[in-house]
Amino acid sequence: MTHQAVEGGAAGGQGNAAGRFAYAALDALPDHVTVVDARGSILAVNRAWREFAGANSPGPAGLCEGANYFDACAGATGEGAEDAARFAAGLRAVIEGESEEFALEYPCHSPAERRWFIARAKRFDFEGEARAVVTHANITARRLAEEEFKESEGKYRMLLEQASDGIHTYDARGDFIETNSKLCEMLGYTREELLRLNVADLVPPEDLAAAPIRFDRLQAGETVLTERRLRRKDGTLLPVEISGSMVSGGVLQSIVRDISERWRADAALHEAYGELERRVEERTAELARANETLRAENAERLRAEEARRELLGRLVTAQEEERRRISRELHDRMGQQLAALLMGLKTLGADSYGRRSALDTLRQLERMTDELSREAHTLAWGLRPPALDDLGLETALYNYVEEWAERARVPVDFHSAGFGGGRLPLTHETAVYRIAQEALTNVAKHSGADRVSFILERRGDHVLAVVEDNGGGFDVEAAMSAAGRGRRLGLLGMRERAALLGGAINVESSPGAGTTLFVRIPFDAGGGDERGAA
Amino acid sequence: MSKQGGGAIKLRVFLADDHMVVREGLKSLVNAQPDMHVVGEAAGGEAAWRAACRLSPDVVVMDVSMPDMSGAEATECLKRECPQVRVLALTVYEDKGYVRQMLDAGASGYVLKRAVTDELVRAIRTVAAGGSYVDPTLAAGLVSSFFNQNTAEGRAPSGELSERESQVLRLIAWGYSNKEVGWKLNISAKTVDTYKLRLMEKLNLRSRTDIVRYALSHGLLQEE
Repeated sequence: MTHQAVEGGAAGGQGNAAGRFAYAALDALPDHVTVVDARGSILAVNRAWREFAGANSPGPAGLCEGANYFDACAGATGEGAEDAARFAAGLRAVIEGESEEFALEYPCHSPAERRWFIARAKRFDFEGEARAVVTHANITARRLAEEEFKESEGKYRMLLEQASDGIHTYDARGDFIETNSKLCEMLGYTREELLRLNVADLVPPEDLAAAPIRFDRLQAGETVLTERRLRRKDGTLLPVEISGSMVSGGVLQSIVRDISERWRADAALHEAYGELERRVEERTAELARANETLRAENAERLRAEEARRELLGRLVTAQEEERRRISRELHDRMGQQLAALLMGLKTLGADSYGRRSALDTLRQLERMTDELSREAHTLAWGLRPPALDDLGLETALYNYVEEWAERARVPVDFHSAGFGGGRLPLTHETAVYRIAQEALTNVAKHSGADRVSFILERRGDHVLAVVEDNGGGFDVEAAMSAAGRGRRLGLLGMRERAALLGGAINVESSPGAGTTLFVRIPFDAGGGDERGAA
Repeated sequence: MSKQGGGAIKLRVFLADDHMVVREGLKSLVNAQPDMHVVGEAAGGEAAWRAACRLSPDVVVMDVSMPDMSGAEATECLKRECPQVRVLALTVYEDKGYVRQMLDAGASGYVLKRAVTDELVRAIRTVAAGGSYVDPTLAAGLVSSFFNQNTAEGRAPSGELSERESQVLRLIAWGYSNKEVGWKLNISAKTVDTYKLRLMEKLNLRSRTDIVRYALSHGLLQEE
């Protein structure tokens, strides 16, 4: 307030110290202050008012002492006119005692800046006269802040509303504070209904017991991600994924995402997986059944094969037995008797005292007897040489090879080793002997060889025979596949013989390169001297 | 030998044969000779060697196969107890194995029954005189079989074997086929054959049998 203002003012007591103090104090105020009388005449203004009025002549604050506030208000034009009229009405009501005070916020933008003021009117009585103090305070900063806040809140709300997820806030007890409409939509509640609920009301009790809401972690500032089911208003359940966190001041916020689609997909996947599993199981079972059948068939085949083998084995045994019997018979009975007959004839010859015709007859009979004796021997030997039973494989084979070499006119280089100990099982000796016989027969029949190597060895747990010729050789595979050929049958027979005892025949040959036949038959090394039949 | 009726000393012959007809034939044959006679006979091996031991004849004519005890076993017992008694084996068996077995047991001769004519008589005389007699049809084979062994040893190798050739030689001698040797050495059967031919040439071996003998005589089969 200036002195002029004071001098020009209606208020008296300018010489009064208290009055001066009051004016000074008013001048110190940052708010624009004026005092009006009942008619609106301005009685006093402070410094802030005056300065502001200088800068803003058009505004109501352009008034100074002596002017009428109501007139100024009524004269206002443009944007401010309405506010001015409202304030005038308010001020009048205050002065007339209708209300204690009146306040109005209004914009008062200058070309340079946006400003807001709050105008306040407050009545007071001074020496029986009604007066009013009118202040204008700059609230631009507050208004800007408010506007900014409103703007951001609007944005937030918009985001909230537009969000595809349900979003809500709640307090530390779980009581709803705010929600977006998406959540309402998701859960089938109205906003008002939701805001009366607690978050725990939305979770089925059994789920809540299994997975409580982690307020502790939320309040510790953690972001808590939970997958759970929420109960809609209609009682149906909605699978959701909830991301909870604390926003500020103990307010918690959850973003609720509908994952029923995912659950459905999961369920479908699960089902598909189950289906797959089931089919795999079915198929597995099928395969197992097929396998079982196959195994059974195989076992059956093996049994049949075994039976066949056994039969064959018995056949071989019986055959060898028979041959041995006949061979013995020929040797021991016929041979001996022929020998006796021969001796009788000799004696008769010695007693005949030179009767010519009788002597001739006797010589002829002797020759016949000798012939018969030889034939019996050859026959017996061919059937089964007694040496095989009496002297063992090595000797019997050696004899056979020697006899064969002589008959076939092919020298045989014979080598044997390892037979110093006990005898082999008779079955094995017989098998090797017969296979060797067959092999040499083949050599004589097919090979055209002029030299044969024969190796017979007894090794720790098997007996080995190798028959090698330097003849024409043959294509082994072709020979084995060609039907009905003698050589093939011979080979098959040898294989069969060896296989009966768990042994194997191996033939290596190619046209023009001779043939080597390997026979290997294992035996129980511990019982080398056991004597089986045949 | 014994004297008989002022004549020459006759050979004492013992007959062991389980066939009565044969024994009878032999007896008349022997007794028909002016210089020998039968002093005893037996139908089994056991009885034969015991009686022969007691009678101590010049020659025992021993059948090779008798039911209780084979001729070879009886001969062995007899020669152990009464070494001075000579044994002449007589048999229907022509296998040289039997011949060797009898000779090994201590018999001095071996005659086939079907040749039992002048030969038996001749054999008895030869054996009694301290000689040995083997039926000429068997003798040739017997001799050759004795000489047939170890033909590979005498020949000198004409070259050193390579490492691979030695391996192939050993495996072949062990009785493996070319294919099996190939598996073991990770080479083809054909290659094995090539090595085989080369090593045979180097060592002057003619056959697989030679390879085995060579390996045996050079101690190549001791491992494994």
